[in-house]
Amino acid sequence: MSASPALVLVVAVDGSVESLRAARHALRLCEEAGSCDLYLWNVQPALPRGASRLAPRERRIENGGGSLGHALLREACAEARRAGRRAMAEVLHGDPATEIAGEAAKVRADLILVGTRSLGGPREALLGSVARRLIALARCPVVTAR
Amino acid sequence: MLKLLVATDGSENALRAVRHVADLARRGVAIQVVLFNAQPPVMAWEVGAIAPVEIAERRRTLAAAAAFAGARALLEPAGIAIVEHEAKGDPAHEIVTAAEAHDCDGIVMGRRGFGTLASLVLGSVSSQVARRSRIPVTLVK
Repeated sequence: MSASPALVLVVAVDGSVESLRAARHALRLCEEAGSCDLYLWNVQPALPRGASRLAPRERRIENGGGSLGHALLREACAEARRAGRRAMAEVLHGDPATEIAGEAAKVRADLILVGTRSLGGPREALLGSVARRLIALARCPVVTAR
Repeated sequence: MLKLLVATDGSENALRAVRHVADLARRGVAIQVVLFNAQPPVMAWEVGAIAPVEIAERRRTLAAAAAFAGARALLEPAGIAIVEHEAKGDPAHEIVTAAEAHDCDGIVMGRRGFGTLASLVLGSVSSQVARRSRIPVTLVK
């Protein structure tokens, strides 16, 4: 195969089993493609201005050996290590679907992978809301895993 | 080798999904494709004295063949091996069932297409598949 740009994959990681499955599928694609840039992103709510005063609890978490976001990324990172892949794990802040779609466009992602939960009851026909909004906002194809 | 079920109805939307798979193959991903097409079952109102059931069936076979030909033209130059799978009935159900039967690693489909009245209530076929499938589903815009 002629020299082609590396496959750029973005995985939205929220610590759920579903998002781990999305990460595993991304690793499978990396393995097949050979060269691959793998981003693992967790999105935390945007901190209000002056958060250090207003949100002491969040600050405690930030100070306690890594943020909540990084803690949620840990499992997916371990999965990448086991597969012998280097992944870029980052915590973004803001609305999950908007942030991931926007940042994925900046890194020229070929694919965004996201875990999705099917909701029970009358909303059963719907996908998880983050996945649904990502599909609407993303410029590249979106892979859903559950 | 990644085995992907690619759903096609011959629409531009479905062809975009096919192009995405061809692009992955060009990037060096070894891919085998199960090319899928579902035709709706023949309805009673389609069949009459001048339009026997054979004609309605024949029309569906031709529509499926046309959908497959369009997709093949994009996949074969990328060196992708293809298996065709033709089904009749509810597309979402048939896609999930076929992907399981062929032991696929993923499903790839256009976001729209296969539009039916039911999709207004149940969500588009692609979101029904994404919700029901146990393997990852790629939705291509």
